[in-house]
Amino acid sequence: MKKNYTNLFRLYWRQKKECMRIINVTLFLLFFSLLTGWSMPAFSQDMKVSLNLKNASLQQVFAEIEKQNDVVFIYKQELIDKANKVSIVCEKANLNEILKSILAKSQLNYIVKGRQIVITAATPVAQVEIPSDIKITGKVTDGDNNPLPGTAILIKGTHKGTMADVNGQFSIEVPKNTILVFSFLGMKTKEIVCQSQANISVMMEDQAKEIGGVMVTGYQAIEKGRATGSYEVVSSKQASMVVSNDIVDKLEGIVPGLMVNSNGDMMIRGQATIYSQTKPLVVVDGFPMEYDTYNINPNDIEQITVLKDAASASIWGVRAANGVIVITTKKGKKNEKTTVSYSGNVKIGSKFDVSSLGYLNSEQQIEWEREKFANYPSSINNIGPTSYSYYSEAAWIEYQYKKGLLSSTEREAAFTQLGSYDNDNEIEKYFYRNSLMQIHNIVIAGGSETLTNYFSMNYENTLGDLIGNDRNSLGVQLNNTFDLSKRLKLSTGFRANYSGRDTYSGTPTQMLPYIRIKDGNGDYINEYNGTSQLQKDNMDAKGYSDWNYNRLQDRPLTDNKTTSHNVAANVQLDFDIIKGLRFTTTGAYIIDHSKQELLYGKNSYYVRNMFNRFTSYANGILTNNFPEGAIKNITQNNSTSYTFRNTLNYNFNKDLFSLSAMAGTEIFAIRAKTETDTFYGYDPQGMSYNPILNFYDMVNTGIAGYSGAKEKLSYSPSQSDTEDRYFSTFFTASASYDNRYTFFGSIRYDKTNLYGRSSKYRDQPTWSAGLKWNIFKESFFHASKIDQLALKLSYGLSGNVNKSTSPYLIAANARDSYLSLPVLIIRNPANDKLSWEKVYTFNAGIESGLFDNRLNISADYYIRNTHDALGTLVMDPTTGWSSVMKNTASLKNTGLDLSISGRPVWGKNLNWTSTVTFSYNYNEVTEVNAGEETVAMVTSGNPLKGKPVDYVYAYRNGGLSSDGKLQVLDAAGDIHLYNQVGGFVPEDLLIMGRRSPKYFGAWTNMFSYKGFELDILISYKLGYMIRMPSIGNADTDRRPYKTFNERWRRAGDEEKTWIPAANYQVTGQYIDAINANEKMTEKGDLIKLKSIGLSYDFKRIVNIKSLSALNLKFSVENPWFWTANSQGIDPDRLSGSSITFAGDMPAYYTFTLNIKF
Amino acid sequence: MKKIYFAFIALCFITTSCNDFVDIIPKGNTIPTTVDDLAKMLNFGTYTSIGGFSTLNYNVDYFEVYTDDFTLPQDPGHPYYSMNSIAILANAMKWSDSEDAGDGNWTGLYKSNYLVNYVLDNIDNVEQGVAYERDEIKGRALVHRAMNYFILVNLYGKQYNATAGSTSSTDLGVPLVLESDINKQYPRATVASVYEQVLADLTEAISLLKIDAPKEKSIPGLASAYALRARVYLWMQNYDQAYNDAVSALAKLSQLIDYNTCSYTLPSYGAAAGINGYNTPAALNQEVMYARYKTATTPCLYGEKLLAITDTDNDLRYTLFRYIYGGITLMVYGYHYNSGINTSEVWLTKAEAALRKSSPNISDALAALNYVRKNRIKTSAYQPVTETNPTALLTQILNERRREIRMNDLAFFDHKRLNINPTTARTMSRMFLGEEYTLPVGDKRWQFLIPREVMQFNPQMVQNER
Repeated sequence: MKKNYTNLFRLYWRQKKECMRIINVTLFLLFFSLLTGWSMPAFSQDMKVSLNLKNASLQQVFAEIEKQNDVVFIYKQELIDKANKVSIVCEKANLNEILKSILAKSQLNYIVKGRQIVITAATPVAQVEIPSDIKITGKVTDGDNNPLPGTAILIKGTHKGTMADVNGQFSIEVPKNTILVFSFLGMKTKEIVCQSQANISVMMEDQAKEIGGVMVTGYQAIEKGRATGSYEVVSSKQASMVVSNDIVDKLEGIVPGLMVNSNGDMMIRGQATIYSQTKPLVVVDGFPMEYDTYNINPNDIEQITVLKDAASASIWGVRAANGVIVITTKKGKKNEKTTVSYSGNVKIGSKFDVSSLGYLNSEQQIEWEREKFANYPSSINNIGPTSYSYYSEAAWIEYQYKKGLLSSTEREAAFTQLGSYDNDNEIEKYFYRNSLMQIHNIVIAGGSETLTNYFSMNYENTLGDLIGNDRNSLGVQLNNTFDLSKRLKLSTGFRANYSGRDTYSGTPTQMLPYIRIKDGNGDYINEYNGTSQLQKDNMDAKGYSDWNYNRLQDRPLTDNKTTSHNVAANVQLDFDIIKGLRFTTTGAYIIDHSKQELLYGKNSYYVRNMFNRFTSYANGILTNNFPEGAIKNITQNNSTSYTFRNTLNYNFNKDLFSLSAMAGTEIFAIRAKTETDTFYGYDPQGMSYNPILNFYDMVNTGIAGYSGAKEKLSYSPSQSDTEDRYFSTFFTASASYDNRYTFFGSIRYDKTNLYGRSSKYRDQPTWSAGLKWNIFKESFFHASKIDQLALKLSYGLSGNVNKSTSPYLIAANARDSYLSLPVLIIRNPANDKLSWEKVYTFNAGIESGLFDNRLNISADYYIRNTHDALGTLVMDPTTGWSSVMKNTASLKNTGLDLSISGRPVWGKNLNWTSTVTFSYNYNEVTEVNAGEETVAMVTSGNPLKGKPVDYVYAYRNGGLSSDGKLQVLDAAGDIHLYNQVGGFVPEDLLIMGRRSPKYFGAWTNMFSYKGFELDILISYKLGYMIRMPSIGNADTDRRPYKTFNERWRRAGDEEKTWIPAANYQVTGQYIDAINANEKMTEKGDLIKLKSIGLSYDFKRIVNIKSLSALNLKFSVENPWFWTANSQGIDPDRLSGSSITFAGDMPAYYTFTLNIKF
Repeated sequence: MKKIYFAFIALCFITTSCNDFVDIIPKGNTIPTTVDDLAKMLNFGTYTSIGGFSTLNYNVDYFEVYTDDFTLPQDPGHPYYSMNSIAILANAMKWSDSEDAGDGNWTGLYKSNYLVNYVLDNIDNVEQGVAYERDEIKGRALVHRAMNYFILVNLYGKQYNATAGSTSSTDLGVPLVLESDINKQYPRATVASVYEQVLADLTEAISLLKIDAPKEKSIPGLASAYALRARVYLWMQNYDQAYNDAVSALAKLSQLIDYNTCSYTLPSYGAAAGINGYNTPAALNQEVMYARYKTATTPCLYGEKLLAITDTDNDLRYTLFRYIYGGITLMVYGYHYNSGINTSEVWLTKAEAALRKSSPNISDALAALNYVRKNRIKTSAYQPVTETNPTALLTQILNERRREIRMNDLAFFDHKRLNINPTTARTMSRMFLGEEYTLPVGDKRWQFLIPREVMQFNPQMVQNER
């Protein structure tokens, strides 16, 4: 926005004639012509001019004068056109006099202000003298608080007035109860009632906000005033609050109705499907992006438009059911001097707090292990010369005691010694660091009369908080437009991105808490891992290769590198056939390639372990079956997509009626290929590998290994190649009368290969219709406080594609590894009753602007009905299928998207803008076609009639039995042991609520004061349930969660806790009964201070002429949150079906520098 | 100039309006349209378990544990139970009903039925391929289906009884699903009608198959079809037909491995590391007639009763197929233990049927029995059986059968079959964790419960009595 005004000014004051033709300056000129009391400035007294012109137009004269003097002429073209030609010869004449003489002939006058000379009509208007009672002073600014110099300020009904100065300041004496009319080019006229002396701040509204401005659908731009659908435009300023190279981070909370879940996936207006895609379609510069990493440099984003309902999104057809996010990138501007801007970010993250993971500490861990040794002796009996199973350091102490190698006192001392140490700090020290992200971005943009250029380069370097996780990326964007002729315009876009990533895939936090990494001398300490340490030691003696393990020592021995390249190119040709009819052809080609190279070094534990496992020992002889050397895995992903689209646009305007229509066809294809392979005995230097002898046996039947039992090698190089194609035809039309009533309709036909060959499944029509009524334009509408008021209605059908199923039996080709026979593996049974998912969306919206548009409220109410939602239906296994994807359910999402934005304070210096977004979503499964409800259906998350699609179920807690076993209650209140829930019916389970928030949104505040700007973003999610971190399978998980420490230990504990006694033969049932216990389910309500930032505009104090922006910002992300759950842990950090907690989210501190020349 | 523009525009629309654009065949995936495609579907189902979808697996979980010829360590703290879940095994050891809602046997076998039914539904309509013959593929599918229903009816139904006045024509068997429609449900068919269907499938298969014995033993040929029909007739107490079919099967494939020629690959590890001369997997094993893959197997201990009739010094089956683990001697199944039909079973079927058919042939019975024994007993200790008393000979043949099929999922069914005749009936009993458990002849637990999840879905389904 800021930029627009700057441009406007530049056009105004520098570019002279051209701009005058473009911009309607009537008001401005009128003001000058009417103004009285203006003393003729002195400047021109000194100005001299030499002219020698014959029969020249005034334009030529002015041009000549501008050459010789530092002045600018401002005029309305019609006035000059009507003027007589002049012939003049003079030498160093007084400019004032020359002008007077030339202009008098044409009934023109002129006014000088600074270096500007404004030409006006000479007809004098009588000045009305009005007594002045009060003095009004103030400042005029635009919506971004930039001063608007030259704003005309007139007393209503008179021609008396003044003009704002260069700083937007003005002062005028007026009678009481005067209405002042403020006018400025491109801005809405504003009236203010003055009752007493005052210093007022006047903010002018961009006219574009009312009728200009566009909603971009990716196919076309629709004037906002005529947009019937529900959509939200995010400006680059709003998007820049959160510093990230990922656009998803930037949208959370800002767009009503758009939710970002803890996996980082976006969802618009609730879940309208069960198993199909819930992510919206992302479209960049008119072309869909099918990748999860969008590779868009956020600095290049001009605007993000989020299309939410059928009327705005259904033009995207079957892929639009979840809404569409349309991103447009910046272009250069015509007739603009080349500008160079730089922005840089440095983002530092706080160090990860290992203890926040909430695992048992050393003492608690040892206590638990000793409890296990006592109650489950086989865990110690199993250690010994015949067993190869892993045991812990603590178990080793117990084993030595049992074997009589340690006395009872020695054992206690050993346990105390072990438990006295906790490795949290050491893990932080050796494995974690402060994350550091740097982003550097350079933009060079400009344009001439016939072409525009935009070039940007973005470099990112990130050092992740886990040492070994590094990322580098470099991106380039180039957007050009060329006016080839008056009718033909060419636009090209090119985007290339490289990124390289190193990943450390180790999990240091899974180390048992008492394990030391280094001893006092700084030497690495061996950690018991994988195979029985006793066996490892025995084998060491037999000559096996070193089998010791230390995570820190092992870290550099594995190299996991992923590089990716992404190139996108698009071309668009616009041809104006006749007036109003435009033909556009566009094409885009996108290539995405990524390659992961995972090299396990020769000395890495992974390789040593493999080598030893496949080494057998007999009669003192070692037989190595595995080749020596490194192991390298390669995974390659290639994806290419192309779009070719032709459209005809027609626009017709006559009087108050306007019509616009578009028709077109499009083909879209995307092909994705993956390949994986593994090389054994690899030599990274020589690039050679070593074939394995007995490879067939090793892979298929296994060969005798370290324990004598057969060891199998899992080797499965793979390839896949999938291609999806769409052919679409579409038509939209919009008719509008007087900008008061607008009707919109769209229809689209998609053909796709996805559902097989029958047209019944392949041809998918989608359509929408919408209506908008700009009430405030009606003659009967009189409400002084309401500046804008419009109603919108829309309805339409869109679809959702599920690529995982088909009405036909689909089988995958493979080869039987034992018999080498060609085989087909059934992926999907035949089901002729299958059809695609249909989503019908109704939207009713209201847009309003109140109190001189200081308060804007927009609200949308929606109903989304999904029919034939696909669901994985649990089936009678007698059919051959225990579960099958079928059209099982109908869903309903209703909700409200609300955005209230206001300027509570808009003063001379201090400004405050505040926006609250509020989203409400109610989600219900309205119909399920799946037979009788069973407990299995509930626990496997199948849709349940009358319940939200993402319900959270729970068992009723029945406390503990006297021997510490978990009990659950049925609906009647009868007590059952946890493993007797098999006989339960669905009513015995509780439905606690839903997983996704019912209410969510954000509160954004921006304050500005004398060049300082403070922005605060607070997001909230309310009305949803979470499962607390799982205690998991404490028997096999290396690090049980702290809840486990509250377990029943001895009789009487059942009074104090509900966490059952440890179970040493843990079954899935036991874990489920705990995880799904009602006590584990809590409210997830979360309020988060997402970011707070302070910036200062140094241009105010640095006076460099060529500098147009210099801005420094400091911001903090995630410094604070509040949540309703009892442990106070961040629900956004919980993930997985068996819930794990990722620890506290680090806070981030960012410095941002923006410079523009 | 204008004309060129319009021509260009027209071209753009024409090139994009091609409907064939979306007619592409996805790579890597196939919608089966030829005999070859159907054959490949059966190839997959027969032996492997790529991607976890192992359609033809006879996946009887821990089934070997259900007979008292086997037992497990009596100490619950034994390291054996760190590899094998005591909770699940204890259930089988006590012959108590499973608490699970699902049942891998039912699910796996009906999944297999879906595959073979899909092949049978489409085999007559698809295009001819190049590598496979239509009748041959149809025959293979029929053999697989017959095997599936033979197992199913014996798991969930009562033993078929050929005696006049028996209840087999009213006893409930399993639902006969004979087409691949996932939207249909069926009630339980009677035991007799399931047997009828099995015989009909096998008879049709025999008329269609032309290959005697494909080298991949998981693919049924004429030998497998006859062998399975011999087994079915034996279960129907039709010894005449069982004899004829056993003879027909052995005419196609008859070789046994002489265990005297076998040795350990790595002697210090016992059989666990492999046996020279005895191929794994079963689909490539020399003495397998029809290989069916099994996913879950549990190495067990010889039960007291089996031990009592085993010559632990000279029976190579005992001395060769074992390894010592945590101080106990476990039987080893190898990595791919067959739950289909081994050639030795057909020899012993021949021996039993020769003795029990309407015109007994004792010398034929002795020849068949001794052929098996010769290949199983240490040459130094081998003495041919010469018993001619039919009752005593039958006992010898049945004992040999117990020793031979110990590594096959047949033992439980064989015991169930023999229980209908009081002279061969035996009550199962064994000790486990200090308590004695029994499964008397005629007990209701000989019929497994219909899986609870099936009961939930199909209101026509009648549960077995308890």
